[in-house]
Amino acid sequence: MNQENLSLEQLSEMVQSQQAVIEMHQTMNMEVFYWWCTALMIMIHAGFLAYEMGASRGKNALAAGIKNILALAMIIPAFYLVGWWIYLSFPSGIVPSSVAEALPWSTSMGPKLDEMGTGVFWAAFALFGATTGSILSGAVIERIRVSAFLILTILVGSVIWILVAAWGWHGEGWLLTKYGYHDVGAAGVVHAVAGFFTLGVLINLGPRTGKFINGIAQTIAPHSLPMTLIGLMMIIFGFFGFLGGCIIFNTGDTGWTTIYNTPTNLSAFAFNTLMGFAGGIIGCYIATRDPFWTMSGGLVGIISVAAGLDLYDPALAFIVAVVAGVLSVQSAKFLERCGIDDAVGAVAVHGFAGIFSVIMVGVFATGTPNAEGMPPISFTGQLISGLVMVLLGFIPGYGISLLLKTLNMLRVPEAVEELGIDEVELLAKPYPEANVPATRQSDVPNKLANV
Amino acid sequence: MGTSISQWDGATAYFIFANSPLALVLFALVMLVICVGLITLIKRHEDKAFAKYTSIAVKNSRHK
Repeated sequence: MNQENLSLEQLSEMVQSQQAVIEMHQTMNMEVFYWWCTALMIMIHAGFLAYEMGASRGKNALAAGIKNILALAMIIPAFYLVGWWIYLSFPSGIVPSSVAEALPWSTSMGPKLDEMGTGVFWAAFALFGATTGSILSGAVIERIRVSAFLILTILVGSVIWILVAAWGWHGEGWLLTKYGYHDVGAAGVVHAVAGFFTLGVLINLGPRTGKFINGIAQTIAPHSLPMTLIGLMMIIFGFFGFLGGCIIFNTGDTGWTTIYNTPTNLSAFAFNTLMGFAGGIIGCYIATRDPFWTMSGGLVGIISVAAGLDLYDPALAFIVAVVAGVLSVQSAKFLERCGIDDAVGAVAVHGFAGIFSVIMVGVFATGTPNAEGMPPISFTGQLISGLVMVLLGFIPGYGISLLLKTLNMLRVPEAVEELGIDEVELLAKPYPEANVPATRQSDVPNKLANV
Repeated sequence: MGTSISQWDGATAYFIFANSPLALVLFALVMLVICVGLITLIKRHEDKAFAKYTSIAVKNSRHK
């Protein structure tokens, strides 16, 4: 086409057509971004699977695994049924506003050509929920009944955390509008809530048999420490999807924003996620010299800076994570002194580090403006919001597990715990040949024997 | 049988049964029943397995 002969109308049509192409590609890119974040988040669950199976003794390794797999399978449909609706309906507190589009029978909750973002956002949030279930899963290994665990995991993964997210993450959430709450990487709304929910459950569940002898904590060694270390590293890998899912990919000329609609970019998240990871490992190593805790330190470090990933100076993020690493080990020791048997340190790694992260933003970022019309970040606001997270995690975890305990539905019988849940409930052994000596003649001919 | 569109032009919610709210409510309820049913099933399996093993353990301890 000879462009010199184009009329103004023709030029306008061309621009509009190009604009439509750009807009469609921007929306597609947004979908692609969250699609891969969700895929990466599945790695968190692969990691939790390996880490919990490894942390169990051999007699409970498969029970720990099946529990984790079923948690993922149950939280996804449960989150579809109620989770998205809770997020959109409860930002102002406990009285829901009507958001019919988020109900499971709404046409918005299925393939729809004019709503490209809903499914990928829902998927990312569903897997945030599944992460809360996995946080609980590791702490309660080797003595909880799978049925009780599933009730608890559905509650925390599809109801509790997302209610807190509606308060602290949603643009109209009351913790944001009233206190200027800032938690871009879900340190409070995911990790602290799940960590303190777990603490409530652990109090009622009680320790594994043999964990405390005459009140003194004993080491119950994992059957495969290498498997736990690899699992933890897989969780770290998946965290890049998790944190990617926490940032908002805006179409148009806005660019990246935090979930609070303040400017940021992936570079900020990259700087501080890696600094947190490194600092946490160093902090936990200094405090323990223990391989399991050293690797857990990577998680502690990332969580400890997650609330302020958009704001930290990378060196400060590193320092905060080192301190969090040391303190989280102390918090785990304190819990053990109180008679709490947290098999994988979930309360310290997620609960303590999550709250620490929220408070540190209050310490270092006070006065930072939020989006227009919202109060700025403040120490008091972070402290009050953190307290809300602790209570909203702990109270339901304690209450529902107490009910299950009263109904004798929470814990496996002592005799079963002694033999191992795998053999009694699953009729399976993780390593069936492990104890069979190689004395029988092999059916496979030895090819070298006749050479 | 359950298609919600007859042509792609102008289609928005195009998935199967999207134009039948009753079917969508029904499917959601069935999903709920399956989830609750699974937990019930697991609990019954646990009760049976634990009771069976506990009775064997008691018998063995008597024979000793």
